[in-house]
Amino acid sequence: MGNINYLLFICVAVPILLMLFVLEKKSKITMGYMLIGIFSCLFISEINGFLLQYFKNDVYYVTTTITPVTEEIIKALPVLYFAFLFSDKRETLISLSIATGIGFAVLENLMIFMNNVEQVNLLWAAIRGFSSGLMHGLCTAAVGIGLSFVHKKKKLFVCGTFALLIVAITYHSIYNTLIQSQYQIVGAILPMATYIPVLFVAYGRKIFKKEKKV
Amino acid sequence: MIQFLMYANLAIFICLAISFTYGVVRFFKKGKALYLQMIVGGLGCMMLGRMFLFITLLTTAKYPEGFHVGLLGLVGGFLFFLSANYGQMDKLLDDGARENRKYRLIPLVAPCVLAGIYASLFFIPAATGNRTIYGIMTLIIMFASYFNLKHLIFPDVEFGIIRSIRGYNLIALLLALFSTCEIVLLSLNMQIPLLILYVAICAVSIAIVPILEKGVKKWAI
Repeated sequence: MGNINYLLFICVAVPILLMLFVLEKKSKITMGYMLIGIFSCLFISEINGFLLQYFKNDVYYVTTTITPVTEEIIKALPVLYFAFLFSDKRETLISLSIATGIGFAVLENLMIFMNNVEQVNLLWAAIRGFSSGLMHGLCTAAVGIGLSFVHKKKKLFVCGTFALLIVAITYHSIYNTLIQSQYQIVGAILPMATYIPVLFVAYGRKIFKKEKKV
Repeated sequence: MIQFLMYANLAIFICLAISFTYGVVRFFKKGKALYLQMIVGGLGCMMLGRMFLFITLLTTAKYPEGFHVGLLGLVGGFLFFLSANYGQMDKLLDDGARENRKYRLIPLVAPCVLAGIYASLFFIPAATGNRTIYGIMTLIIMFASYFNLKHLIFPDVEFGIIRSIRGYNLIALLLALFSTCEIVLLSLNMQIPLLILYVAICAVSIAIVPILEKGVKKWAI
């Protein structure tokens, strides 16, 4: 049958890839980054496999300490590439970061689903859907904010991006620690509890901008 | 010891969460300086680090050995402070003039003191923990402390920008000192000095944003 992860990747990525040709430019870039997020997940699944072997199959240590580091770095790289070569506009970078994070979460959820198909239920699906997807999106978006300084303020970009990457890694680790503990429900709520205030602040700013224009 | 560390990290997490929330409410508005937002970001990062430590202690009843994400939270926090002072404030302050040379050299005292505290780990046989990881952490704190001391003693530029935030720089310097001491005391498993230190960290964490706010109010005047 081959590696199931590759089969899942083909099933999810190919339709999105085919759709890219008919989309307009802005949507094409966003969906393209979602596709890159899906590919990043496939890539990191191989790296995580090696890391798990290196740390003698200590799943808890690897998932709470090592994979947040590797995953956040891999997800940030395509956004860094875009910021360097094309545009460092903050809104664009945040959109692309979220697209990468969500793309990553889509394949990750499918991989976990296929590996635990006997045990999964509606609650599991709801938790994974609402929490994991959001968590990956939020973490990559945090790094995207730092990357928007790539051309504007070089001194700020290096330290700031690294600091935001650390925020993303720490947040990811907290989520992974909680989701594997008896406080699973807290872990499931955490991304939503972060996303709602962020959304509130972001929309507040947009409304403020519109009012100012009027 | 585990219970003690768990409650200590919870207390610091709560203090940092109060500071962070207050900072977001006061400084994350249109027209507020990025410098202030970065300091609040640093507190947020430290808060996440403490939260990770608390959750790990709560769920595993073990203090994580070697590299762990709680350490990264502290590193990230000081990187934010460094980024704010070096990337935002320093260029306004120091134009590289020769007469200010002494103000660039004297602040080296801060990183030297922190390096000395860290170096004590090598002379105490009872010290445990990963010295390399603690060394990398101390290095970042040292860089941040250099700019905090520099901005504390540097002669003021126009409009009193730096004079008004000297209180903040002093508090940030204390936080750097306490954080380095924490590394050493944790390695030695010294509960009473750690308790005193954690109380001091709580006090500093809760005071940092109001002191900064009091200082920056003078920017507008």
